[in-house]
Amino acid sequence: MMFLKEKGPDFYTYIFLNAVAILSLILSLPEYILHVIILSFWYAYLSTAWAIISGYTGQISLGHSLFVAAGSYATALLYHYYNITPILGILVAILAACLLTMIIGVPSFKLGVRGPYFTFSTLAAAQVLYYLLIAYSQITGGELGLSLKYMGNPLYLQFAEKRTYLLMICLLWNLEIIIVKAIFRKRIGYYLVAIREDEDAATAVGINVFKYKVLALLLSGIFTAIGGAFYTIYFNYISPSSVASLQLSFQIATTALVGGARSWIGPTLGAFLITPVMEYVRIRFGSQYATLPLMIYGFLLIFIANIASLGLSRFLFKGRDELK
Amino acid sequence: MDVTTFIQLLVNGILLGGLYMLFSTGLNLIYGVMKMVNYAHGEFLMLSMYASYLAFSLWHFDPYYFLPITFLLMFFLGYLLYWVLLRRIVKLPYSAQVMTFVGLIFILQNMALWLWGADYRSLNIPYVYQPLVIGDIHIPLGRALTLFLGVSIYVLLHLFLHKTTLGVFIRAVSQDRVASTIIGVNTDTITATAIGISLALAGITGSLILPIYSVHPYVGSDFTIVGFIVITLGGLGNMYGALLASLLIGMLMSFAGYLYSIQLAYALALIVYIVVLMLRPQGLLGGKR
Repeated sequence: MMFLKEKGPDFYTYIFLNAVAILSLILSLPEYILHVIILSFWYAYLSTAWAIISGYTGQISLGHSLFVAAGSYATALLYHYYNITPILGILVAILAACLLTMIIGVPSFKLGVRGPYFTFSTLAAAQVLYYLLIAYSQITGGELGLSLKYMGNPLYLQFAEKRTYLLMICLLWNLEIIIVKAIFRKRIGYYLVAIREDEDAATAVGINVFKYKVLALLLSGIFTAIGGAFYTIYFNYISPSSVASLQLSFQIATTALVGGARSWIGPTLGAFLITPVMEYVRIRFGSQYATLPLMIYGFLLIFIANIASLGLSRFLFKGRDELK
Repeated sequence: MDVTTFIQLLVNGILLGGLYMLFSTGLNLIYGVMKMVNYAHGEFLMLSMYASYLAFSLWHFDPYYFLPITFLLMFFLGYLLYWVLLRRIVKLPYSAQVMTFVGLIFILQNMALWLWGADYRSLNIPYVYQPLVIGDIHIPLGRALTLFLGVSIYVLLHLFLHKTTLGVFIRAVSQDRVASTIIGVNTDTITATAIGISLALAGITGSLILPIYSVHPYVGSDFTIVGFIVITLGGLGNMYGALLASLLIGMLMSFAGYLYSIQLAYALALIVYIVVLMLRPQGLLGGKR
């Protein structure tokens, strides 16, 4: 555990968020506050996963809801039709992520698809799944979605206490951060950054660009699919517009970009800056101005893109956040 | 499927193809002069659909007569957009560009949602549904008119880009920005004009499509996706390739939409796109990249 000896604002942010999680596990906070913290951790988890392929490796994806939807629908359908516990469902979700990487990632990376072409391929693939989920409504419940039955059985990962879910997502997020940090200490981390900075130069020095891109997408997809499975477990309800929509893809990507997709803490920072504010505005002004939060968010995105184009973490932490 | 239905679908496919062509030419133009993909292109189409809708429902202004006004409005919007926003972000990293366009999408979609609600709105203009009868085939007048106007505008655009000085400048900037600066082209003005024309094309498509489609705040993203499919399938910058690709996708949408459902038609179009790109990465008619 080398990285526990680190110092610096990025590391203090990480410790602080863990302290927040532990405190909210001990104290009995209002349900709603807990919900916002869980959502923030969920977004932090998904955006960190997104950053593996899009931040460190530089292949911007606008279709990560593809993996979220695959994970959540795999878990939900198995539970709904065959009464299989989500613990096994998560394994199937991981398999689904591997399969999708084979279908989307392997052909596009083999062809040397990059830049806007890769962005578009992911966007298109996510949209295909969205339309398929709506078209096959006999199985998936169509646009109305699937409401799963609640039995309160811990074996099916159904708990009465919201705090259990917080513990679950917080552990997942910690695990992800540790794995990401560990990988980026090794040679592969430098390979991925080299691919981001200059793909042709990376090929020239002998890096197997195709292999490492696929690996990055695979890792990112698996984490994201597990995040999708968590959504099913937590909400007990899924619909195409909540897990497969372009909106979610955009949200995951921009959360990471606002925080700084090239740093390990950046996506988390973005999630904890954006999600609570958005939720607050939604509750405070939601009834009159339901569209206001996302509109302000849009302006904010353009503003941040112009003043801190590589994200807030670099802006705030003064370059201390790059992967080392 | 009998012969009449088949021909109806064929005509419908050609119509859709023509509209996709018009829309994606704008996308191609922006990519040409700025080397950026405008992910919010469909949202501008949505904006002009609403503008035409309001013009009709408030003042009974026919969408077809409204075309020149949409053209001018969207042209100035594009011109402004370049000077205010796009000019700055072209120097930023690709991720910041994506952020800006997603920001634009969020702003435009939610503005439409706020101003006009989430309902599907469509116009009811009586003459649009009057059939044009040729033998056994009935073509609604609105569709025929849309097709005719779309093709005319496309031909005009083609002439503009190849025969006028301004058009030649635009093509020069998209071929080599630095070289055109050296020979004395004002690249800023030319790029702003090209962006203006590009958005104006999205605007015209919106006005043309309104009498036969319904409009809602999220109508744009499907068009953006189809537009991108068309320009990539055709080979970037290749106008004839784009024409072929848009007709192909138009036919596919028309037939699959009739036989299965419109959702499956979209899914099928995307799958065809992926398969074709796997076999011919440079696009249908594109040369070596």
